[in-house]
Amino acid sequence: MADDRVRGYASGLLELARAEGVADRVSDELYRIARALESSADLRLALSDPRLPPERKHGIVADLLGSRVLPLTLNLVNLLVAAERSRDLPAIADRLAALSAAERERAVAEVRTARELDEETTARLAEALSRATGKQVEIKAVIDPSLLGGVVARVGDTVIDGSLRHRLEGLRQALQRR
Amino acid sequence: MLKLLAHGALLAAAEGESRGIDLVLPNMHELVAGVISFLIVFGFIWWKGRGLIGRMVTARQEAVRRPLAEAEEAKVKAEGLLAERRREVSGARDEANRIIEEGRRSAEAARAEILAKAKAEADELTRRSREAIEADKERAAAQMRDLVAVLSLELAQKVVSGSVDAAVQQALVDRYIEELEGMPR
Repeated sequence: MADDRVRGYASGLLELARAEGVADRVSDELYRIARALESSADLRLALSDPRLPPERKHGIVADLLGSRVLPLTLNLVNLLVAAERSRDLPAIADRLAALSAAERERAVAEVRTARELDEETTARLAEALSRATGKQVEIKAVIDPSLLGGVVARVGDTVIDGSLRHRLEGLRQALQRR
Repeated sequence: MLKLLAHGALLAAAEGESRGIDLVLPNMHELVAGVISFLIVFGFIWWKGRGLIGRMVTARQEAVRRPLAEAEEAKVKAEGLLAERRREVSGARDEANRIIEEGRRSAEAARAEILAKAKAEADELTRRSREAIEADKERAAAQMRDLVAVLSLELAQKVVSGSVDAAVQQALVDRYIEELEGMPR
């Protein structure tokens, strides 16, 4: 039931974005918003608090996103918040990205980096990931400063961790085992 | 008796030689008569009283012998009882010695058992204490390793986060891409 609802919302939002001709960008922005929502418990609680009036929630969304996303993306997020589906937003964004990629016969590759990647590096990374996984991938970039440096890519269930945080964690485990 | 008659004859012979002692010695005839009378009386008594006297003596002997026999029997019996009592005393002493020895052995065995048990408990306590100490040492060492690791990690994170600029990040990404390209398909 919940899966049907997520798929329905994802399809609907994708159709709206496609109708506006900004499907890729909306998909990217929703994906990043979803990751931000996942990493902030306070934001999740605020957007899903039933005691908070919708206008206040819309204000929070506007303050956070503002002019950094397309107006359509902002409106779609407000639509989900007004429908009290903010908890489902990460799943809907993931499904929307997967549907968008699948239409182009591609898989979604979530790429986390501590700093934003330029287009040339993103393209090289997509090509390398496609070669390594055997699938044509479509990169969804997420900025995650906790990685310290390096890259973490996830394609389906496959995670390739090349972050400094991962290496330091390995160092910590080695020190503890010694 | 013959000696007495001879003595009387001597006296009669001596009478013819000296009259001085007539005042002391009886008349020879009287003496002879007396002796004869005595013999007659003695013979009569001997003849008549010998059996009675024999019986009296026998009875007397019997009267003396019976208590003696009874006394002897009582003595033998008493000696038997004494020997029996002595045996009983000896047996009791042996029994007492046996009980004492058995008690001593039991006490020795109990002492040995208590000592062995105490030693086993002490050994077990020592073993557990050593294990606890070893576990504590291992735990402390592990905690120390964890602390060192955490502090090292925090320090490394601070150092790394301060040193990762755009160029370093780009180098890390390039290296990541190279590693991806080197992965088997």
